[in-house]
Amino acid sequence: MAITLPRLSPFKSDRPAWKERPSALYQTLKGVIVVGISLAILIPLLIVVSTSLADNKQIIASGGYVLWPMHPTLDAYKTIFNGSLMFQAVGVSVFVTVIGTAVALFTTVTMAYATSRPTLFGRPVLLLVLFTLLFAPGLIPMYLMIRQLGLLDSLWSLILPGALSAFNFVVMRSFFMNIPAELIESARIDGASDFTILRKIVVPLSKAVIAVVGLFYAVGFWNAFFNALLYINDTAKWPIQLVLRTYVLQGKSLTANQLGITQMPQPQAIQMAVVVVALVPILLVYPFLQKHFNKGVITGAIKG
Amino acid sequence: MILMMVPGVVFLALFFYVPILGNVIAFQDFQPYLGITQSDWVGFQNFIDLYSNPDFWNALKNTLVLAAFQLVLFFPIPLLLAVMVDSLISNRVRKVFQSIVYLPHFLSWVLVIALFQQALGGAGFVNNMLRNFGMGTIPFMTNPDTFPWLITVQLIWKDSGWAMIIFLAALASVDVALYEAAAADGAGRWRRLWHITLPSLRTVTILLLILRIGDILSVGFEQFILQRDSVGAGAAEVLDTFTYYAGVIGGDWSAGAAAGLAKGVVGALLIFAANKLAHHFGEPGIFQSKAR
Amino acid sequence: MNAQVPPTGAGFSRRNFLSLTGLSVAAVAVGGSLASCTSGDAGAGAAAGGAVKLPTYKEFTGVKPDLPGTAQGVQQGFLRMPSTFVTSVPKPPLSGPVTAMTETFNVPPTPMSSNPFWKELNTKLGGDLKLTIGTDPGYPEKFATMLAGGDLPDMVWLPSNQGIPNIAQMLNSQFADLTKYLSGDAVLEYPNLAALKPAVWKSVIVDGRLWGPPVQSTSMGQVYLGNPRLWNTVGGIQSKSADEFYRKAKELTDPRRKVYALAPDYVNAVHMFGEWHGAPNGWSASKSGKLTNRFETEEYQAAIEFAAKLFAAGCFYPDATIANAVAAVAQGTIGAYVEADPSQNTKLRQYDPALAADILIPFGWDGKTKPTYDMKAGGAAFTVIKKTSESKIRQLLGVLNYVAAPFGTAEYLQVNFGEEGKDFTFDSAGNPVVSKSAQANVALSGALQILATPEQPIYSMYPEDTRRAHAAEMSLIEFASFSATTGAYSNTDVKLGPKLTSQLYDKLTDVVTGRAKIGDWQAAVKRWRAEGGDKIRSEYEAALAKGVTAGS
Repeated sequence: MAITLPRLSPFKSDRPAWKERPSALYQTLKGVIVVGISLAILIPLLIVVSTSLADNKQIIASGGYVLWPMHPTLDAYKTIFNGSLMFQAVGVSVFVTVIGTAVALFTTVTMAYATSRPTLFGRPVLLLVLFTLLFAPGLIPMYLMIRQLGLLDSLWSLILPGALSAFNFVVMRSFFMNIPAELIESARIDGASDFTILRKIVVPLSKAVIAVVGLFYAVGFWNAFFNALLYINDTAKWPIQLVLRTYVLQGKSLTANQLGITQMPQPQAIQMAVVVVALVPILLVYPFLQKHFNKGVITGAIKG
Repeated sequence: MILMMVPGVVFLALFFYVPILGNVIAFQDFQPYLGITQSDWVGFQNFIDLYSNPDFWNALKNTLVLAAFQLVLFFPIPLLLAVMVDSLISNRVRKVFQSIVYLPHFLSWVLVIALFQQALGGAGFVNNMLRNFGMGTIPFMTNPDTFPWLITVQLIWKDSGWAMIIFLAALASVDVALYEAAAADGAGRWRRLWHITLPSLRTVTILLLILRIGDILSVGFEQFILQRDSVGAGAAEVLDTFTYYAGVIGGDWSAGAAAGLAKGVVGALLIFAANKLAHHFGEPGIFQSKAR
Repeated sequence: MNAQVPPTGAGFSRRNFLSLTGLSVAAVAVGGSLASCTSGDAGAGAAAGGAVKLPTYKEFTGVKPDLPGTAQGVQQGFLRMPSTFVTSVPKPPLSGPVTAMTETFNVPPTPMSSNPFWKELNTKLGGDLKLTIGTDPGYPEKFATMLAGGDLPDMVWLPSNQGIPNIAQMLNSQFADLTKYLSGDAVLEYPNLAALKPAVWKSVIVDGRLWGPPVQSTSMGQVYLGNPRLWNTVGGIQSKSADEFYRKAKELTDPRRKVYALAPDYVNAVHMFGEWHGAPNGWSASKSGKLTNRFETEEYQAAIEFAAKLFAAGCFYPDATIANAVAAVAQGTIGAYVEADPSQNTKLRQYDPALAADILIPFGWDGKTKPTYDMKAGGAAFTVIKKTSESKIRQLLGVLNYVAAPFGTAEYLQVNFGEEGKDFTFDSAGNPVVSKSAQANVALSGALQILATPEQPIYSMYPEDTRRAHAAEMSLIEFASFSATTGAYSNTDVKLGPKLTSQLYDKLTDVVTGRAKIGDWQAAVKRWRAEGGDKIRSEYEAALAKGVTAGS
């Protein structure tokens, strides 16, 4: 267009052809809900971020939580990243999360697919997995097993025990069961092996659920700290959550004769900074997965 | 296919089935320094001790009430959210909204409750406003009778966005051609919702419901310990906190194991029942191997 | 968490998170920061004791305090850091590496291989001190797993013995009986351990034997710390009767201006009010040896009623939990809060450097009754040594002796601050200031302070606070009250004590906040007696009858 007219709506029009234009009332209602929910969540999150950036004076004056930092400072973050401990912890967590998610996805996808079709031993194996939904081994037996396998003080002790979550398994299997049998059958007739079918047909069709389950696993690995506490003695191998928690504790436990001698940012600033640091990686990852949650991912699969 | 199951089965054997044998300490008076082989056997005494405690029944009642609240009030919300998000036209709005709404899941309960106190606490924002206008304050966070509502609201705020994700994934798996065809046949927005969108969520919803029902005795832990003093143990005691105070706190590993076993047995019965119920609705449930 | 929301703990279902607390409002101290323990019930200290001779107390005279302490419990006060540092450990205690497990409430330190502070300490010790460091919460679980797996190191720190049932049997089976190394004059070989006060030693006797030196910063007990700016408007926090205090608290409270008289720690508040009524500290013994627990007394009940009265008048902060009570007091939102001991009065300066805290000295509730001041009840934490050879035990005790070097010694400086010039420098007032780059290394001191510690002096950057705290302690010690069961052991108390006490505290909170009546409290006490209180009583009475001296 040669002449650009001012846009009335701030939003690009992504409406697909088959969708009709909704009424103004409907639009407004949706808008109100969306904005309302967003504010209900954004304002507290803003408080978290602002407090992490606020200077000591403002935190003290406002009773602990701050809506907007007047004189922002990075002191809290600097304190957390002082020394090499934090950087090592980030490395550990990234390793555990990435490898862990890969291992877990591999295990879950194979198990879920195998039990979603009639398979020899499929039924008993399915029951074996479901049983884990209901019961959990105790701390001491798990510790002894990890010890027995020689995994104490190894990062694999943080990865392997989490390789199969019954919940994620059930979800994935359910999605797999919905894949039309004809697709699988025709591939089999063409001579494809089970693994090939899995790789070439099932996985591409299941991108959404694999993305979701992958996200669940990744978050699980990223947030874990208690098993590190029990299995890992070498503080150089501590994951990020464990290290971050000690900062939260430290702010609470300064004794009198340390005060004034070691000047530190206020505990709330450190706690909020800890929250922000733990959040950042998730914020970075999620947008990449989002595209799998949008309509239009699967078009004409049947026709293929 | 059997080969495919090998990694999972190995994992299960090593990290579940062998260690789960350790739950035998539920029938012992387990002492870590003696180990399983040397600790005394006490049969069902641990179970009897836990359940003859009068506080147990209160905890059970609270747990069931809260579970009901969560099931009725919390469970549908992520579903509704997903449907709404899915219907948003603008890609940008949808992306941004999704990225905002799941964030509170990652905040710890300590922080969430602190934030709620900032807003609704006795010295919080709302009550300060009320005081300034000369009106009486409302004990949002210290009233034992309205506690289940408070808990549910907190849970909705914290976890709706996260729970929504799984429904979004289900919606994303719907073939767009279906919508096109329906629109071409003259089906309006609400009919499309009723005939295509909602049914596509049916399977995953029933699945999650079954899982939730099986786990119904777990309604939370941290959320309740942190608010115990605010509303009193009478309102805030749930099964998991009960087990904690009745046993774990004194280093009683056996009591914890006993409680876990009991819960698992009840959960198994519930899942079984829920699954059978699902069959009545024509759903495959979680056991069957082939869809419909 | 909701199972509908997928679990986010890799490898652990929530079910075994039962032992994970993540608490920030724990009323039951399992370990916990040394500076913030609530007053626990009379600890399970020793069993058939009496036979054991306490280690000889030998005051460390190498460093002269500006304000002297007393053997009974008043802490030494230092107005400034000494300028010369005496050596208290002439020879390095080790001849080889040793391992130990402890906890830290600080950030974990840089690992030993890249930590110059740690390496320097090892040189001074004569061998590598390899530490496994746990965090809070999680220590009891870690301890239990290492115990079950047979992986315990040479030395282990044990949190004050709640949460470790059958501790006597456990110690007997796994750890070395150190009585012959520490009892009576034998302790003089470790002069810094001999400088630890008798009251604290007494509280870590288990089963009539000594298992290791106690780890406690001071045995002074809780006090109310107040903001003078608020209290001075109503006549000052110090009062002569409960009625006067009530009147002042009411006058002070003004929700409109966001000012409340008291922080919402109800259990501690009742503890304070109980002192005004002369309630016993833990257990009190009659002349014939019969024990009464404070929960059973009318005095304690009166304290609960008084707290309920204050609550009904709106004098407590309206939320049951508050993120940072100390900050709130310093800013003038809350008038007073209960602090672990008087020497912590300096904490308010962190939020307002110009604020000198008031310390409330207990008074008779009616102006006539003699008040009590409860010293720390409950056993202290202590460090134990695995069964091993005599020479190894001596080396390990030598390490503890080094780490417990008193304030003002060269060893104290090394343990807490490191090397001058490399890790810290002295500022103009003579205070050691750790350099920013060394902070991650020196963080090791947090773990060391848990392993062993001298009695902490009153010392901070504010000599004014030191003087005030010391003066307060001298007043407080006049009516110091110790628990009758310190040094006695009751297995039932260790096993059921935490659970029973938490039930009582729940009911106490209900009564104070008006959710329940005082009759419900009495019913709860009856229940306490039936479910274990009476059994605990008889076990303690039996232990005392065997000759452990009733509390001083």
